Amino acid sequence: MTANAVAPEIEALVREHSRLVFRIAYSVVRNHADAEDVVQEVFLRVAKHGVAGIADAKAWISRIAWRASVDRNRQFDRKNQEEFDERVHAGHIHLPGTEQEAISRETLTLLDRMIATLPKKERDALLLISLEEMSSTEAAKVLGTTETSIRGRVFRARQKLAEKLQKVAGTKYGR
Amino acid sequence: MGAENRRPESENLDRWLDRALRERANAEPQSGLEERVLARLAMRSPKQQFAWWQVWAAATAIFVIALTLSLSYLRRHDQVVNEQPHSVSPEHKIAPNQPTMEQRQAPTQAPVASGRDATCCVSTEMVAKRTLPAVHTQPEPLPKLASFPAPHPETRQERLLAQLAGQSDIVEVASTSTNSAPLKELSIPELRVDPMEGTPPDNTPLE
Repeated sequence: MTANAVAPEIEALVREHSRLVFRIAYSVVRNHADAEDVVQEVFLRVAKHGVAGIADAKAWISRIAWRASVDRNRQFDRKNQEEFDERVHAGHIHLPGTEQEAISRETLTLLDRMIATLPKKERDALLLISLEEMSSTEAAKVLGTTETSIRGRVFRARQKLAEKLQKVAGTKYGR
Repeated sequence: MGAENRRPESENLDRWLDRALRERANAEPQSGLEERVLARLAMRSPKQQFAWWQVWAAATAIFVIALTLSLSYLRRHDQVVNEQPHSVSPEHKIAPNQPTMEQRQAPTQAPVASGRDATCCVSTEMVAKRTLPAVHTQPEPLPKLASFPAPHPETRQERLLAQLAGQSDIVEVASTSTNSAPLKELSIPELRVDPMEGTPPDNTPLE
């Protein structure tokens, strides 16, 4: 089998957006190998479709990446919706007081489980907004909603996470 | 006092949540991701296009073959239905002496024998009937079955035999036809044998 040259516009898209696509995929599937498979799949779809008539390539590719990641997550039947019992995990999380103190791997795993228990719309908005490349406007384009709706969802998601963290870490969180 | 204590705690929690979410989201891919993606794109794209062409070509070929086969099957089926013998019902039997349309229209070309030849004492009408057997031209509806299971269709040999029987009927009809020429009267003279010399007369007993 011989390798043919990729179209220059597709190559430019790969070089510019592959890192973003990987992060979107990783935020959903939480696995490096699966995230890379999603990246490959996304750019195969992009190459098949072509870039003619695409005004906002970043938003378009992000949307493809999001859908491919969610499909892959569903395909492998990840148990994201299981209940998170704060009493079981009480004392397993340590909230550092300073910026310099690193967050442990165990704490991040617990955070993953807490996020997985959030309602789908709030979880999706929170995951996209957490990416440093993604603004609330772009997240709204990916999820097909308004920017205001995205902000509201993110606010509610953070509130719920804080309440869970409060129970687990024993800290008080009042607003 | 409680509210003042709560504010720094909540800010602390907010900051921690921001950091945790950022750290969770900002994963780095393994080095060389772009090259791997490009390499896979280069390997995949021509093959996929070719596969689509192949699929279309195969689908078209299968459609054409299926259409041809179905048409030829239908044609053959019609032919078989037309050729099937109708031997079950007597009303579908073909009368051997009934002339066909062609026979009625076309003039008889058979040679006519003179009245002297005894073997050729068949009228021209009879010759025409014998040489052209009746043929079904119009497909007729299949007969209703009188008995179950249905009787076997006639074999080729049976059909030939039936045709021969039909021809013998024609010969019989020909021999009794009024048009045929009368046979010559044969006169056989009486046989007379003279007795040989030296032989005793018939009434003398032999010793």
